[in-house]
Formats: sequence, structure tokens, C-alpha cells
Amino acid sequence: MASAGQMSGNGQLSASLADSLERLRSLLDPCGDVIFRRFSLGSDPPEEAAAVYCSSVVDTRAISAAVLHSLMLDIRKTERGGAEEAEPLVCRLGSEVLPVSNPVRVQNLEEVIARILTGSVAILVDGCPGALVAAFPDPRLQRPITESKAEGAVRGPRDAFVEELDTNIGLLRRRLPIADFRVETRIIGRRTRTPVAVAYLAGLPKPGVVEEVRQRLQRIEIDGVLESGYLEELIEDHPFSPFPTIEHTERPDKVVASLLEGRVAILTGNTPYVLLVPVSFAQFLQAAEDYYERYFLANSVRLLRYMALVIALVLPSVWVAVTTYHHEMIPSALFVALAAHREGVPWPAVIEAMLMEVAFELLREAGIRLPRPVGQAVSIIGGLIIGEAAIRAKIASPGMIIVVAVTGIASFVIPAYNYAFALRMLRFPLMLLAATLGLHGVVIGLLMVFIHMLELRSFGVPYLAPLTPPTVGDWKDTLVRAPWWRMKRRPRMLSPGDAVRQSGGQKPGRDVDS
Amino acid sequence: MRRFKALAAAPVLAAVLVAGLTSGCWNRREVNEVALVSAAAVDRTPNGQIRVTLQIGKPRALGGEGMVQSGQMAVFTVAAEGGTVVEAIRRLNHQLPRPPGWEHNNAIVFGEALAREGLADVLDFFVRFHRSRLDQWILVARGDAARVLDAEFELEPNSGLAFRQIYRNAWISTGEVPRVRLHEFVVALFEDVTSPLAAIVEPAATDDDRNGPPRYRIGGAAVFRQDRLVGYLTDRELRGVQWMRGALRHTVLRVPCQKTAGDGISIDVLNTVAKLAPEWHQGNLPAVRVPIAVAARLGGQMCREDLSSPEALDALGKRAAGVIAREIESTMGKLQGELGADPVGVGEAIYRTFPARWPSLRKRWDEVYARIQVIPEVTVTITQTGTTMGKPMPGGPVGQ
Repeated sequence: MASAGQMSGNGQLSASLADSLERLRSLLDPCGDVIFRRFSLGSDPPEEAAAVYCSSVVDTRAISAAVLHSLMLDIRKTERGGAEEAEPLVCRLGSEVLPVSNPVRVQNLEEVIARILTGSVAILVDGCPGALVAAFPDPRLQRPITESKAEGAVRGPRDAFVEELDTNIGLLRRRLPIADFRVETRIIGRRTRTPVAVAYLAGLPKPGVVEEVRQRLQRIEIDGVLESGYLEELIEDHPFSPFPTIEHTERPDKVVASLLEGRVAILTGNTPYVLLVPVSFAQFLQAAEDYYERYFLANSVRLLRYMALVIALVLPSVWVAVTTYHHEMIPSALFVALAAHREGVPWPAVIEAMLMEVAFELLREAGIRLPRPVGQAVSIIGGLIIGEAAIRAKIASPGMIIVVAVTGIASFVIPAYNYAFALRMLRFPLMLLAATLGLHGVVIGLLMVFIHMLELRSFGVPYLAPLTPPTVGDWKDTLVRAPWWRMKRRPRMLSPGDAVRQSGGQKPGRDVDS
Repeated sequence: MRRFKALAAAPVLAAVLVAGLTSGCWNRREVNEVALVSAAAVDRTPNGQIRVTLQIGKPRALGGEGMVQSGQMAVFTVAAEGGTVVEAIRRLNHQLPRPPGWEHNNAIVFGEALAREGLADVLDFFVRFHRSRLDQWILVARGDAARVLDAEFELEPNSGLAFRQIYRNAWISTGEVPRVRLHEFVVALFEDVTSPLAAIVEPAATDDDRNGPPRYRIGGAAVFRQDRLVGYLTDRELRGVQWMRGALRHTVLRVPCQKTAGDGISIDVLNTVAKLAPEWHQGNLPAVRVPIAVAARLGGQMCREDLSSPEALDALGKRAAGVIAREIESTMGKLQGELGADPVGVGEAIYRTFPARWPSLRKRWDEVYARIQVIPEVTVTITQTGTTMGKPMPGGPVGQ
């Protein structure tokens, strides 16, 4: 982009076909996949013309049918004695001859090249200045819209984002066919030239948030953006915190729900993951399905997730603390069983816990990277080794295996993978504190985590909001999920402007309250 | 600004690190690094030493993979003597490869001889020591305490656990066992004139035709004056105390038959609410009214009375109240006379109601206590007759 201005002196394509082609050729020939197709227009008299396109990213059959066929054959039908026209017909191909949706005449050499390389065909006609550019993206490069792999739901829409940005915006537009749904697109990445779109519903986000997003994106000066994670790290509030302050999702329904709450979405080209800001910690414990199932079920599941949160964070450390410092807290019968099972285990509980936790993390990581058939082998071998052999070999006690397994499963219950990972990492220092200071250590560790969380902000919204600072009205969708007929207002912390979401008195049934 | 924040966090992190590293896992004890104490016995030896006997669980046999083999005890006992309790307990470590873990101790059994001398000095250690919990049951053995630990109970792996379970089981069946843990015992000690009670553990009567270690039973109460054992209450006498303390949840009350021949009517007590209400009338001595409300159901009758009407049940309730009142009077007679002990808390109730007049009374309490009138006012409400009506089974003659 920066170089466009420097080349402005000779950056325009002239009317001479030979000259233009020469300039394009000098720049694009080394690419290897750019085709320069010279042909004669079927007009009378025939004019020399050329189509320039990048064969790897365009739909060549469509170009043959729509462009070459029209220009070489169909043009004759359109031809009328055209002396009175201000421009010769050959220069009005876009409006009269080419049956394509959005042809643009571009004279800037840089822009022509950029468009050719992103899947457009440039048609140059001798005697007409500039090039007529029309997009013919190759359908082979588009993955069909499939089901979400990472965020499944029993009930809910099945479509997930794909790599193509336009398709992704389309998935949102289909759910928000209103003018208030705004999309601002920009290019980020000097070399990858990745399209990035900021989407929001006009009037809903907290004032200043959209502007803040724009400014943070504006700052980015990077040569490549391959995934939204690049952007996340470049625009997040707390780069040193283990907790994510930006949420990502591949579910369009989740993005739309967030937009309706007053959040801003950042869509990145070539990746199905969309960033959502601002977020609070509670958001990471919510799944799309919470809002599709009846609130009864949703609330129970949420309760379960908060339990899972606590378990994933503190269970191993509490276990270590209690078994090494606070024997009186264990029921007598369990104590006896534990003592018997630990008989012969050579190391302290904390080493045992660390070993097993690390083994578990190894298994989990192996399972993610490996191809599916091999992954099963890993889980079988891992399960056998950890579950059975480790106990027999007196490397770990059965109680510890249960603790590690429950902790692992609890961390899988948390819908957001990156958030669950933060918790999983935090439990290691907590275990060390438990091993040295007992439950006091666990409490000290948790206090430090809480104090840290209190300090966090995400695009101006406190991370622990709405719990603290307390915004009681927003609690309806934090620890619990109120029934839809009770959710009259948008979360105040996100969208203070247009607060009313629906009218009251919609509770169904006979005793309708107002 | 950011740099400043990082600096501010540094001392906190440093403090945590120092706390963690310098404490060096102070007091760390793995579960398999303690000798699990399941019962303890404390005796006075003939040569004047304190002997502490501990029943230690063997983890493998107690809960582990290996089943408890028949004839094999899952526990063993060790004993050591010393000049003081602490000394004796420390000396135990010469016989134990692991330090004793007191956290899960079920019961402390005191020998009769030691109890007669006074328990306060011995209990001091158990209250003071941080690994010893206040929920250990307090038992007094008739005779030697150490012997009791060898008692065998088929259903439980060791006597310590069995004592605790028997306590509970007896309490919910007859209520004729005082629920006195270390906590209750010490609280009673701290009250001015209240006498602590402790359950008695003694050989069971049905012992004769059995081989092997003797069976033991828990019941009745050892009565203390201050901290010294002064005598015993039988099971039934103890129930007199329990009525007044409102400490009975379940018990069976026998009411003699009226008008018909038979063994009596069993009334199943469900709940008891009692209150001590001291009154100080014109005289120079207070009297203590004891309103007791008993909720009960008909447990069974061996009398052939027709109890199917509410009136009959009310009448039966009155008869039961009389039985309870007589039990109380008999118990109070023994407590005020022979034992001179106040486990009911009569003195404490008077003190709380008339704090100003208490000091003068306290001075001559030993003499006054015997003359204080305790007036039980019992009401028994029988609300249920079980799954049959109150009518007798068909068959024999219905008396009239």
C-alpha cells in the first residue's frame, strides 16, 4: 500500500495495449501462474485485447464462458453503429458486453496487479486506458461450509465459518439482514494482505469500543497474518496474563448473539476463527447451546461448568494439601484406604501429582496432534499405563489417578479451550504452594489469581464484570441463564445505549405478569 | 506504568516464594507416613507411672487390597510408660517406625484407677496437642484400660472403630449411653459444679461360653466429681439423667399393664425436649422444675389393652409420664445422695438463672445440693400406633 504513492508517476496504465502488457509482464511474468491471453475482440473492426489473470486463483472455465466468449463472439450482437458515442464500444465493455456482476475499470497499476493476484481477471483493450477488472474466484479454493469441529452443540445451527472472508460475512449477513449490521474491511499484512473485517451492530456497542478496535488494528504493521491469533496477540489488553481477554469462535450464531449483546466481531480472512471483544470471564463458560435449550437445562449445565472450573483449578492442589498437611479433614475410612493405597509409593503426594498431571497433559497433547486412528492407540496405551501400570508399579496411588482424571475431565467441560488451558497451567503453581504451605498456600495462590483477574480489562470492560464491579441487572446471564422472557435488557456493561432488548410481559402461560 | 506494575507484583511473589521455600514443607506428613491411631488407652501403673497404649491400624489389612484374613487382627497395640502422658507417648516412637497420627483416633479409654485420681491433668495433653481432635469419645474401663483395646468385634476391623459405632448405635436405640466426647467432657469440667460423665466399657455379660478374647459392651456412665471418678450409674439410672438433659432421641419405655395381666407396653420415644427451670421461693433453697416433653409412638404391647382411641393413648401417655418421673426421682436420689454429683447441670442452671445469689450458694453447695428439690413435670404425647391400630392382637382374653 505504501508503495502505491511512490509509483504514482508511472503507476497508471496507458491506453496502449502493448505498453500496458509490457509493464504487467515485467512485474507478473516471474510469478509463474499468470496467464496473458491475447485475443482479438469480435467487434468490427477487431481490436487487439488481452486478458490477464492468475490461473491458480481464478475459475478459468468461467472466464472462458463469461469473458472470452462474450468478447470474441457475443459482442457482435451488441454492436451498433457507434460513431456518435463519446467512447468507443470497446471501452464500454463493462456496461454493455460483459455479463459479470461487478466489473470495475482500474488504471492504477498497483491495484490492477493486486486484483489479478486475488482472483480477478483484467481485460485490456488497445485504445482504452486502464484495465477492466472482474472477480472470478476459484470455487476450488473455497471449503464448503461444514459443521463446527471445535464447538459442537446438540441443538443449534450446524454451520461454521470457513476460510473465505466473504462467505463468513455472508453467514452473518444471512442472520442479520438489516442495514444496521456494519462491516468495515481493511487489509492487514504487508505480504499476506489479509482482509480483516470489523463487524458490529450500529448503536449497540459501548461508545468508543468500535473506535478502539479500529485504532488497535490500525497500529498493526506486520508482514503476515495467517490466523486471527496474530491479531489477538497484537490487540489484546494484557499480553502477560494467562487469561485470554479476547474470545474466539467459529460459530456464526455465537458471533451474532455477541453482536446483539453489543460486542464487536473481528473477522480475519483465511481462517474460520472470529474474534469477539470485549469479553468477561463468564463468557468463556458459556456455550451457544445454553441459549437454545430450555433455561432449566441451561442453568444446570452452567452450574456444572462452574463446578468444573473450581475442580480444574484447585482439586489436585487441595488433594495434595489435605493428604500431606490436614489429615483430620479426610473421613477416617477414606484415610485408611488412602494410607493403604499409598503404601509403597516412594514420593510425596506433590511429586506424584505432578508426574500424573504431566503424563495427562502429554496424553492430551498427543491426542490432539495425532491423526485419528493413531490417537486411539495413544489413548489406549496411555489409559493402560496411567490407569493400571502406574498403580501396580507403585508410581502413583489410585486416589491420585482419580483426582487427575477428574481434573482433566473437568477442564474439558469448560467450553473455551484457551481458557481451560489457562486454568490447567495455573494449577501447577497451586500444587507447589499446596505442597509447601498446605491449604494456606492454596488460598494464597487463589487470592493472587483473583487479584490478578480483578486487574484485567478487555476493551474497557472489567474482566470479572458483572460480578464485580457488581451490575446486578447483568447477573441474569452470568452464573445462571434467565429464561428468555426475563432477559429484557442487554448487558449494561457491554451496551449501555440501546438497553431494551424486548418488551416485558412475554412470559407464556396463564399467569402472564406485566 | 506497566513496568511499575510489574515491580509492585515482585514483592508479593517474593514473599510467597520465601514463605514456600523457607517453610520447607514444615509438618508435612504423607498419609502413609503415620501410624494411624484408632484407639488409645491411658492407665496408671502400679509403680506410679503413666502407661499409654495405642491401637495402631495396619493400613494394608485395614482398607487395602489384601482382605483381612480370618483370625488376623488388622491392628496391633503398642504401649509405653513414662512419668507424664507426653513422655509416655514420645517413648512409643521407639517401637513405632512411624509417628502416631492422632487425627483419626476414635476413643480414649481411661483406666479406673487413673480416673479415680482425676483426669484433668491427663486430658490437658489431649486438649493441647494440635493433632488430637476434640471429637474423640471418652470411655472409662472398669479395671485396666489397655485390656479393653484387645476386645474383638466381628463387624469392625478394630475395637477403636467399634467403640465409636457402638456409641452411635446404642444412642439411637436405647439412649442409655452418654454422648460425651473430649469436647463435652472438657466443657463440663469448665462448668463450676457440673459433673462430667463418661461411658463405661466393661465385659459383656454373655461372655462365658465363648472362646477367644472377651466381648465388651458400652453403657451406663461413670460419674465424676470435678475430674475424679466417684461412682457409676447403671444404664437405667443414666436414662434418668438423659431425660432431664433432653438428650434422648430414641429409647424404649416400659409401662406396666393396667387391669390386665402381661409384660407391659413398650413406648418408643421419638424425641425429648427438656428444660431446667430453677425457682427461688420464700425459703432459702431454690427448687428446679424440669418440664419434659416427650414425643413417642406405640412400640408394642404385651398387655391386650385397647389403645385404639385417642383417649386411651392420652391415658397411656400419663402412665408413661409417671414411669419417667419415677426414673428421674430414683436417679436424682442416687446423684444427690450417694454420689453427690451433678451431671444434669442443676447447679449451672441455678447459677444462670440467679447469678447474684449463686456465690453464697456455691460456698455451701456440697451440703445444699442434696436438699435441692428437683421436680420433673413430664408430658408424654403418643402420636402414632405403628402400622396396626392400637387394638391388641386377636387371641387371648381381653381383660376387663
